[in-house]
Amino acid sequence: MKFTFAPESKPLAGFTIKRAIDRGGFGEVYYALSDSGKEVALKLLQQNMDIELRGVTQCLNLKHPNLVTIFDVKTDHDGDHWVVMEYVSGQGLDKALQQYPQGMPMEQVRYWLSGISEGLSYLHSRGLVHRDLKPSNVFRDGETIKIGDVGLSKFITHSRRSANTQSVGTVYYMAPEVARGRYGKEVDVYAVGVMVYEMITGVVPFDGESTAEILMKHLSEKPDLSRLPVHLRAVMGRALEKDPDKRVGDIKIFKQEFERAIFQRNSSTEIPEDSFESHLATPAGAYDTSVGSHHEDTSYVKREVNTLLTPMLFLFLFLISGLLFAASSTRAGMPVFTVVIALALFWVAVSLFTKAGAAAVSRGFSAIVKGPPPISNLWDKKHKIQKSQTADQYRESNLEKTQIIREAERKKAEAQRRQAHNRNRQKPYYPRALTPRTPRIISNRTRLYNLSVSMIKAAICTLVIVVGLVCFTDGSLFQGAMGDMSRGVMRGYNYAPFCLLTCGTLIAAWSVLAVAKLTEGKPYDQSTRRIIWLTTGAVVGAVIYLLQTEVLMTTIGSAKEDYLGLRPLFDAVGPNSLVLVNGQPSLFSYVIFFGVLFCFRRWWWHADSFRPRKFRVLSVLITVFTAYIITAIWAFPMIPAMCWAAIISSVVQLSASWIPAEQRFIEMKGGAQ
Amino acid sequence: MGFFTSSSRQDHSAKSSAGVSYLLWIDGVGTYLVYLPETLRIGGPGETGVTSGLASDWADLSLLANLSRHHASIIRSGENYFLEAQAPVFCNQRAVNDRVLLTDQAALRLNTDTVLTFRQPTALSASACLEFTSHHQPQQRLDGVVLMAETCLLGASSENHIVCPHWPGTVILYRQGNQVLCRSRLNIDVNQVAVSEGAVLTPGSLVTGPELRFRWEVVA
Repeated sequence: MKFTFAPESKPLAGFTIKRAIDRGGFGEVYYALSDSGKEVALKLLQQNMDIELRGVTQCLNLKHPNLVTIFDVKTDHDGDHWVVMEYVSGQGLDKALQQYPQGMPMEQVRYWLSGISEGLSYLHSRGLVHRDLKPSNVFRDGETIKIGDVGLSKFITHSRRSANTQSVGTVYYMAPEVARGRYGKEVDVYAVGVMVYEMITGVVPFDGESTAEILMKHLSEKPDLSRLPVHLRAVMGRALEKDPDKRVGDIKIFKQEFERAIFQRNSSTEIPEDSFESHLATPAGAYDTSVGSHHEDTSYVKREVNTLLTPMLFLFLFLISGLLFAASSTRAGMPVFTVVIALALFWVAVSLFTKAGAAAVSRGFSAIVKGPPPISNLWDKKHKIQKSQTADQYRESNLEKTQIIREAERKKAEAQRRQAHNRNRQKPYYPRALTPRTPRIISNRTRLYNLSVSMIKAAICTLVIVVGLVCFTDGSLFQGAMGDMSRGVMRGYNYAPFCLLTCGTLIAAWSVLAVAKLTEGKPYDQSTRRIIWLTTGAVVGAVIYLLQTEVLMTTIGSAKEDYLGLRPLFDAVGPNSLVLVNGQPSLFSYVIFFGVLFCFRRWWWHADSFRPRKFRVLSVLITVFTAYIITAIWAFPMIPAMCWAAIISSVVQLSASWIPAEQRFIEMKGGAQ
Repeated sequence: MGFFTSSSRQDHSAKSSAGVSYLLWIDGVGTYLVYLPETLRIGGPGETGVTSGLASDWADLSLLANLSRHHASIIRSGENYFLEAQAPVFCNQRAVNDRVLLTDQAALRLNTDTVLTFRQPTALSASACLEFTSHHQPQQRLDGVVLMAETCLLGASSENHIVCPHWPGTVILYRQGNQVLCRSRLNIDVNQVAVSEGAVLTPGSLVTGPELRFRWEVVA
């Protein structure tokens, strides 16, 4: 985010900008100190300047603890307009919402709503409407909730309601009528409704991929109130009404209804019949909490009337047919009697062969036996009893639901607290040292560079060590008691053993460095690493064997003394002997020795730049001991083996790159690519 | 444990010196105190008439709160931090009699209502942070204090000492001898000079980069 003014700038006399705070829809906001040390927020008006200036001027003398105070409006030397405001340090509602992606605890929702409603109520009482309420404009400064960007507010009078045609505000919180250029205080209630919805559920009621889509949803789509607790659906539905005339008109009333819904002081919040609320799905057999009491009354009466209609009709017909029968038996004679009987039979048939009819007959008989219920009972007494029972049941069930929900919320909050506490307690304590096990990202360029440097160093180290060996010993370490490596080199007649030791060491050291560097920082598991190193060792062994037998055609110490008097466990692998007829190790012997040596030692630890120390004598000794064990199991000249192991281990450690512990973290996090 | 005594006043006032703590003014994020010494003394307001944004004669962090002039100390020892009480102090609701080892997310209550939260956001650095949970602030408003051991990380993720939500990468401040250097994988400029390796931060240095800017200022 780029800002116009740098820290320590003084574009406005008397104020020093210390840092930028944010960039809003109307301009940049800076944190500044006055010459005497008072902290303020300076807002540079850049866009929609007329609207902002008008609004700010109107709000200059507003004073309320829940509104961000505007101190002054100033103009700098360049003619730019600055608004000098109270600096609010606390967290914005947007940040608080990010902390609760599944919705805030209800206590916090009430806390935020309480501050917002107080501030807005004050603003509305002064005839102003905010128009741009959104989470990023609501702050928590210590224990106080503050509404910012009050400068966008406009005077609202009935005559000017439709005068403002420029759409401002954030589309997620924008009331449908704003799209038509209509701004009343209902737009703020709608925005608060959306914010409360978001606070409870963690999501806005209308979301989309484009502004147009969201706006269209505001205009036409019903909000999904099923995400809200049952007891809050009615009040939230009223706040999110599309029609501003049907919406809760006053923020205080909304807050009161919201509080009342939470505490279930009055569960019969009414919602107009034509609102989206009436279309909400209700469980079968249960009264919908969103349906008002009048709806309940009407439906109850209708159902009662339907229930009683059939027996009443039955009785009526019975009485009429009885009268007719009496009359016909005295005066009219058989034709009338026959017609009456036919009618009665027809009616009985209809009653018996239809489901409704059967039910009606049974109710009818019941009515005959018990006698018809008095009309007064039907419409007054019974209804009243039933109504009061229903209301009680309804209230009880709602109270129960609320208690369950509240209990669930309490448990959820408790579980979250416990979880966080446990997480903190069980947080593993990691040693702060970075080791070769630490996975890290190393660029290929860095790997290649380090490898090249290490290989050059390895060549130098190998030469130094081998030359030292030649100069200060007779070479029997490598060539055995009868060897003449030193003499051959010194006198210039046999360089082959010297070359074998040098080149063999170099091949092994380079292979170790290359493989270690390629796998450095990668999270391989142990078995994968061992397989890689076993393969590398086997290849190295084969190459050294070829070097000895095919290129240099020389020997290494293989006399009995070179086995230190020990007899290896195995001198053959299957049909293949590990020792040739001349006592020299075979190809299999080389492959097994180097393969196992590479596999058993952690060579990547030798060559990793995060190894604990640059050079460890203990590592060399362990490698030598490993070589000793291997040669004690599989036949390979023991003294040359240990000699090679010591030199390779030393060369690798001396030549591999190494980063001191205190630099590792910096290298890992901030190393130039 | 004991309350303020005249000897402690003399000892500690001698230790305070300029250049041991710095202010980081970070655009879009906040103001942070980066404190380098091993001991941070916390206390209430200093003497009337003596105006200092952050410190008093008795405390390195002087809060506008109902506290003793030297109420408690936070001491770094290697990779560990200890809270040493000079007046009533509670750590995670438990009274601290003398000294207690601080762990990540420890809530430190000084006297009755001043609460600070101690954090060690990453195991890879011994540096720690203090947050003003109860909104009691020094005269110069801060968003947090970084007790910098070797490094101080600034970046978007929560494992940084200073979380800068919209930054594209991490910037590291680290100590080298008596100097504090700045380094990043991002292309950053220090005082409008591009730096690829660590650049020394001097008082007043302005560090800029893609979507980030902060100023490094010595505490007077």
